[in-house]
Amino acid sequence: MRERGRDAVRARLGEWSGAPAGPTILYWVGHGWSDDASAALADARSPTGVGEEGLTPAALARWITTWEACCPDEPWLVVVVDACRSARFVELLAGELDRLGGRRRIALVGTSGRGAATLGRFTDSLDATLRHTFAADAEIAATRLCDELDRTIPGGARRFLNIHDDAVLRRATPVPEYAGSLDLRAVLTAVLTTLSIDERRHFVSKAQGGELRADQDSLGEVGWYFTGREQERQKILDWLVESSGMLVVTGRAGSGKSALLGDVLVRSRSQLARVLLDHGLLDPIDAAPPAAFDCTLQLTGLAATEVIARISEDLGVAAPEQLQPLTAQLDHLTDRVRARTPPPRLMVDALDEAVDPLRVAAVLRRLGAVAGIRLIVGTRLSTREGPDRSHPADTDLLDALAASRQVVIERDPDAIARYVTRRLTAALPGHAGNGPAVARAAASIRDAGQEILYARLAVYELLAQPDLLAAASPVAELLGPDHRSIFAAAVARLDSKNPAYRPLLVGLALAQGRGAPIRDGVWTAVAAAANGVTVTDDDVIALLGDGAPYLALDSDHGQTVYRLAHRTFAEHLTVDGELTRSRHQAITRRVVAELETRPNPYWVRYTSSDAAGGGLPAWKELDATPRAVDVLDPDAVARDAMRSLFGLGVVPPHIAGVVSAAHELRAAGPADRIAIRQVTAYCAGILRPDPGQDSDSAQIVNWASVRKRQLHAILTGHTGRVSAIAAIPLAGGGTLLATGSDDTSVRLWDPATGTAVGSPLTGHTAEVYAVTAVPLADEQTLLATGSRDGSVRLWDPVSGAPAGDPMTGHAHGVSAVAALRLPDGRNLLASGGEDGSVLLWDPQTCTAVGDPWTGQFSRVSALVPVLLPRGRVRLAVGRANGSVRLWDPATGRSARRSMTGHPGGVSALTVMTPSAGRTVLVAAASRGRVTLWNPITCTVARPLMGGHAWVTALAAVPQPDGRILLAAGNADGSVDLLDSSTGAVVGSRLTGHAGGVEAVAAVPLSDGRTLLATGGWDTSLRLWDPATSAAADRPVAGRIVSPTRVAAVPRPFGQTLLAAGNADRRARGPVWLLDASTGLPQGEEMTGHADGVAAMSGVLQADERSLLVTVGRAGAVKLWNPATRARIEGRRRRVVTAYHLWRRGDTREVSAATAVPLPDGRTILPPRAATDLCGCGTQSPGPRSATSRTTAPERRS
Amino acid sequence: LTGVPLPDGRTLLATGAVGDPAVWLWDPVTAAAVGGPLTGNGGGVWALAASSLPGGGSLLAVCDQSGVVRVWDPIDRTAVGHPLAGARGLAAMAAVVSPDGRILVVTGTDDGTVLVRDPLDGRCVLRIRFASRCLSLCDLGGGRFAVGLSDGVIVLSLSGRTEISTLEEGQGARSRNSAP
Repeated sequence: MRERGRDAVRARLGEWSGAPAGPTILYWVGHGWSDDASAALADARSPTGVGEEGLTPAALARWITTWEACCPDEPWLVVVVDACRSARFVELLAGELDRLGGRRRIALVGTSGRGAATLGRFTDSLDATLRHTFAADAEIAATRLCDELDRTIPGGARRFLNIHDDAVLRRATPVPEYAGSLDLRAVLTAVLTTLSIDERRHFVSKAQGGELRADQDSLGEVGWYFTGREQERQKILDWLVESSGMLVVTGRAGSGKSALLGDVLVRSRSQLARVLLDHGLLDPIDAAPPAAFDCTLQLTGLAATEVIARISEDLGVAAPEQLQPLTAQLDHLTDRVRARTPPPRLMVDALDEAVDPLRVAAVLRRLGAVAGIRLIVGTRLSTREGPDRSHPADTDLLDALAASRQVVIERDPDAIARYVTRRLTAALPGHAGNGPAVARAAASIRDAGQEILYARLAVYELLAQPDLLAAASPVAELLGPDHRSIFAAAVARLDSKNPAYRPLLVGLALAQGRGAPIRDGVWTAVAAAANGVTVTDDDVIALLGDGAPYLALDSDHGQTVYRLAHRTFAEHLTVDGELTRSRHQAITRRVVAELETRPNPYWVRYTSSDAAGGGLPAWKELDATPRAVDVLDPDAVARDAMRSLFGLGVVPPHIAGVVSAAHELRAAGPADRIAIRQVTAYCAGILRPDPGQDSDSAQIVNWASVRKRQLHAILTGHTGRVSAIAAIPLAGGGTLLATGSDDTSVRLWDPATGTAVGSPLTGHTAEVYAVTAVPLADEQTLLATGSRDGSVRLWDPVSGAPAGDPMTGHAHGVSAVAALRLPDGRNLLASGGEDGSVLLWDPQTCTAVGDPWTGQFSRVSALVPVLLPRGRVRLAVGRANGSVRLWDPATGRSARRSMTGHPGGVSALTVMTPSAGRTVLVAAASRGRVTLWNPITCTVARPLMGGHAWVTALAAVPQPDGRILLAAGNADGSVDLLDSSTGAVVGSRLTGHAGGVEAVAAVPLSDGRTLLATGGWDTSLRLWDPATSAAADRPVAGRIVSPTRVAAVPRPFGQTLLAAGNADRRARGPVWLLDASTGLPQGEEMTGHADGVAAMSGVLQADERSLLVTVGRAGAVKLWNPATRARIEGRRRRVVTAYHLWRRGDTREVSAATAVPLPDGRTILPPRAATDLCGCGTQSPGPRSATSRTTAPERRS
Repeated sequence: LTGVPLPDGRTLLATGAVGDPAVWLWDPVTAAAVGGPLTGNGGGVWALAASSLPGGGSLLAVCDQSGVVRVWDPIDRTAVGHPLAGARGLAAMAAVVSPDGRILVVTGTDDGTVLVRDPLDGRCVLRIRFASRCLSLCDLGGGRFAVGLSDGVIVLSLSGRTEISTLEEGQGARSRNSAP
């Protein structure tokens, strides 16, 4: 008892403060006391009412100051007071320290508010937070940690003195940096703890130091308990010694590829291998261990550019600039790697889990071609492979890697049985009687026909329910035939243990992105909302232990997240589509409340995904709280809204605002987002002016009278005119959009989500004029581009790499390209030149084929393939001289007849097939006329009214109801939708482009919707939903056209009118008056000045009557009574044009006018320009009579 | 040319000309120049706007040809606060009194960008880029202002901005303000 009494406490504080050992954590646990004015901590001898007898804040502050004085540099100190009512103590301590001043950085934490502290609650919370909530974070921001502690221990207090928000805590023991299931992680941790301190420190420090960075676990599966695979391992080891290049280690999902690679990796670190061998955790092998790898990389969740950056970092070569195109970055990396001696050895795993695996495969393929390199890649065969999935027919990942050497991991039943035996025997020690049961289980699992993953899960369930072992039935029958059935058994087991487990697992099954974080209560909130129950963080922590092999740890948006380890598990819990939808909706509803208080990155990024999962009702829930919408990531909202709402016709107003303004919102601060979203919602004509909304503090738009815009997404990136657009169907069923631009680049986009895909494709040295998709025989599709540089290039749209050499042959620029499939099955590419020639190419060999069509010298402006009856294929060639002629690519002969009559030249062609077998060719003439031709007879099938302006682009857009719309892009930036059978304009004109439209394309999506893509001089690519555009337009009454002048007209009693005028001569100078508060028009528009309204000024005169002065461009002045909207003429004019300066003969145009009320009741309108005033400033003013005897301003025509 | 309301109820006239960096103030009643010119407005005066505060004091904003807005106190004849750059291609300018009693300078440029900035601390209170060109601006009183766009009119209110601005500060938003 003595050593905890008052003297002992003082002695220890004295000892600490007198001999500081640098940064300190001072942890006080015990009893505390406080009232409103003072607080104290109790020692063992303190009386029951501690009072001033205990340790006071002032006393502790003095000890701290003493300590600080002895510290050489600026130290930091963490004081944790884990005692009753310690929050008050901490507040007072902070005040004392402030008073004393100092350089120190101090964090003060009190664990309990007004009530009593529960002993151990703080340490438990801290432990759980560090162990689970931030499990994968090597660094934790101090404020985040405290936020999390505040959440789990309500009522506490914390004070930071001189500690900034960016302070971070770093783990002394590095976090194993891997995404993997938790049971393996537990095994790994267990192994590390069995090592001696020296051994552990050795590996841990190495893991931290970079040379062996994340050695043990950079590859998710570890080598412990690994058994079998001797042949495959030997192949890898031999390859490492004898060969170079790329070695692909592949096999079915769950076959143990990663475990084998982990085994090889462990053996490459001789010291770690020795330790594991000593502990019996590694099979001894005869072969010499492999040399160490220079870089080991788990590709899960990495994009191609990140892979390049990580490899550069590990190899110690300069990383390429992130903003460069991917191909340039790759060139940079391969150059550096080539220069490195000796050539590096790399091991990368889980290619199938990378972001865009095929693109990453293209990177690895280039890297593997570097001379002397040794690159081992672990991957599944196909992107469409997973546990419990039927074996896909394709091997797209292997094809993309194009490796010459492979090690295929086949199922090894005996190894599985050995593994089961070894694990069960190790886990059930001393139960010799289990032998037969273990053998029975091993045989049963071996015979289940599954891979090693199944065995791992089965073993875990057997260990969790040992009575299964004793059962008479074979284990595999009890657990079911596949991974999902084992998971189902596990869910049942967990459910009986804790009813909160199932909701938590459901929560993870519904989690978006890479998983749900514990932080900010996200996981529990998702689980609670989805299931309508209450779950706690304690349940989460318990589940992490009990359900370990089914859970995977990962990292997303800078925080630790958890997910179900395999997709098949999530599918098991989301079988009921209707239930899942309503659950997503419930989550969305919950998030709206959470976003206001805790905008966790998970909510910010993924709430819109939940809304997309929940359908229109969920979107409406979100839309009902616009402030919540403003917190969300605008790109994510736009993406999710486009993929789930476009084509349904109903997009809730605020969501629509985000979709059409995503490109602006991305760069906007949180304050501007509200305004931008509201403005766009108004401009989409969706929000109506509502004066009642003024009470909403966030209401920024009062009202708007603007032209309604069709909802569309704006994709930015190009820096020059977008001159060509093509939809590229992908083999997997998706569609990409390719755009060619005057900035010489070609860009790829995902039309379903409205996002850019990869980096721009660069290579052309001049403007890109034409883009088209080139289908090949093997269902693969290439992208062909034609440019002013005279070349035609082919690209692989998946990898973004050039396919073959540029095809040169045109003497001048290439103005059009088209793909053809001949009756004999050959695929050809046709290109038309500015010099009038048409050339044919073989896209497989990139060589010219057939006979070119020469002799015509008018620029080829459009090329389209036309399929005629009886399988004949022709190419329709439109030219700048106004002719359209069919050309037979097989014979090189052109049709005798041509379709002529396109004054101004043919600007666009498109083909439509209204009913099977009947092809109609469509030509667009430049003068705003669209003509439908019958290509066989060369007669006009139907003249269409066409657009109102020069038609520059055309596309046929098939509708779900079988109609075919023609989208005509116009030089004035608008797009018209025409019904091809009636010629009528459908719906409202699509406006938005700030310059002329140059390209239009129909974009069929895999789900059956068809979007419309447009591009033009304003460098943007825009995506429209033609289905909603076809809905009837709602004209805004009394709309104001181009108000080049606006002026406030003050009225008595604080009312204000808004006057708007147009300076355009052609508009004949109308003037509108509106109520400034409501936007209601005050009568019809007034006829202002025939030469345009140059200036306006409103004034409230001394007699409380208001006056509107308008000045025409030539200087004519008109006066209006805003109340009656009548002109004031003759003697009632009360305006003095002072100084008589509206002089005849002055030809300068008026640009501004200001009417000034004088106290004597007159109003003067000063002259137009400063120079006049300067020159005449000393002249006597006009008549000063207060009886309205004013000088009329000179009228000018 | 713009009227400069003074706290005493009088209105002065401010005049500026393209190509001349001087801004003159005039008394419209006597037609006499009030003091000398306010100089230092870049290469020439592109636009003028003025407003007075309910509690007294008024400010005159001058946008020069390079798109830099300087704010003057017309009574003291001194420059106030920070020059606000970034109004190149100015189409219109207005001075708006915010509900919390600050004079804010609204500039609209022909690329559709409307900026609302506080000249005293150089902070950007609001930034919107419209899809259409901005043609004209005017103060409507009560923290409201009208924006004339190539496809219509929209009236914005700054009444809710105070609270939001605090939020922006709290988030340490990138300063895109054009302090010199």
